[in-house]
Amino acid sequence: MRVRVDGRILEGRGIDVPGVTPEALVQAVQECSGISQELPETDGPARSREDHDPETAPLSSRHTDRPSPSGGVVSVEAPPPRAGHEPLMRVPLNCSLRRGLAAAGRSCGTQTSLDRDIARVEQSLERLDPPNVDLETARRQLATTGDREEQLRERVASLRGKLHARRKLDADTETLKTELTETAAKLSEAETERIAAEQALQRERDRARDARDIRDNRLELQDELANRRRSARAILAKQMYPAFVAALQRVPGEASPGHDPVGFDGDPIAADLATIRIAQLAAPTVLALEEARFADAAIAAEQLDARVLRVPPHCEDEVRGIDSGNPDSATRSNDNHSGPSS
Amino acid sequence: MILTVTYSQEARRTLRNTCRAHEETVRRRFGRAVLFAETVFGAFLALRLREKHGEDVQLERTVPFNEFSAVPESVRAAATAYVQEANPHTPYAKFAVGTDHPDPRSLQGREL
Repeated sequence: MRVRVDGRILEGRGIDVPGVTPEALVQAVQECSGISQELPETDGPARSREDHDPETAPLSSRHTDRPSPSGGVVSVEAPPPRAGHEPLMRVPLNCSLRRGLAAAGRSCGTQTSLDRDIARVEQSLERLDPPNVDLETARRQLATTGDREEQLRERVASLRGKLHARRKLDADTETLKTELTETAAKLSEAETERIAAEQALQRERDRARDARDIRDNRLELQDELANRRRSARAILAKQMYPAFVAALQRVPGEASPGHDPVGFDGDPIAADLATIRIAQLAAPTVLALEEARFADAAIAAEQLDARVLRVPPHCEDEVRGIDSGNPDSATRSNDNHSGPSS
Repeated sequence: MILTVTYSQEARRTLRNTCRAHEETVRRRFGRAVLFAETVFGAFLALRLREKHGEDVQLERTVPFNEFSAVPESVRAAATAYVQEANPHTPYAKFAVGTDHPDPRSLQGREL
């Protein structure tokens, strides 16, 4: 695994990456497309790319004094995350113990009797494609024609009233009569338009109902899928539990795990670490703990049996890394810090 | 009241959050559907939901159902008679045969 940060290149199976936020590291892992060359990975501390041994040096050599293309932002060269890696991408895990264990189980290729059902429902869902029905235009048209009809109706009534009043006074009514006739004609036209708009809206509503039948069906399937996935996670978590209990012995932290995920009691970080340990991850995990549980990233990688990118606790302001050509300063984080923080 | 019906998980979730945040405007909840108060604010809440989730939200406006204005006497009488007199297992269509009560097919085509 290789990390490029601030123009420096760091290598190893476990790498301490100071001065970078966990979010940036997670992002870099998500974006990594793979290792350009197979690197000889050891359990030792991350070391600089000063290895010019033709046997082991990658063919595309990079010089650490060339500025990194992203100008100080971190980039990671490692196997990319596979599907389902997401819950295990960062420790502390941001999910329940059951979900974490299920993800670990999936990473090991574990299957459940529900998987075929789940695939079937997923396929059914994919086939559903409810059409869009534009009711808004029809509603707007109805409102507009309705308003117009209403206005004209009032106008006609008002003209009739005036006409009646004038007749009583024996005053001239010709112009008014003409206006009334014309307005009544407009009213009739407006009424026809409003009725047409009503019918158009009704047709669209019928189409919308058909579309909603499909949406309804889709929602039902979505719920069915969620339920089955939840059940599958419960099965996987239970299946992984014995391995998880064993792994708890090999990671820092105290816990009394009980017999199943419900019975777990103890240090949630220990649970997260044990979950990572039993998973078979290709992509690295970002370790961002508040207190130091491991002396360095390399040791973390060994105990977690995973590639680890560690944000060193309380070291974020210090710039650490390897100056090219200086064989004396190996990257060993926590040089100047010892033991867990108080 | 303003009837709001959701047709997706996301829309249903938003509706739940909206109801929790604006209990005073909720007249009745049915899980994925709700009756909002017929106020401008109720309309506002409904429109917000539709703006966010498009056609996964259906908005309707209810009116109090007055059977005395909307429904012919013969139909009201038929409903009462069916419940009071019919055998519990007899479908209405069968019950209506040989009576003055309207047959259901004739009712289905008629607008209320």
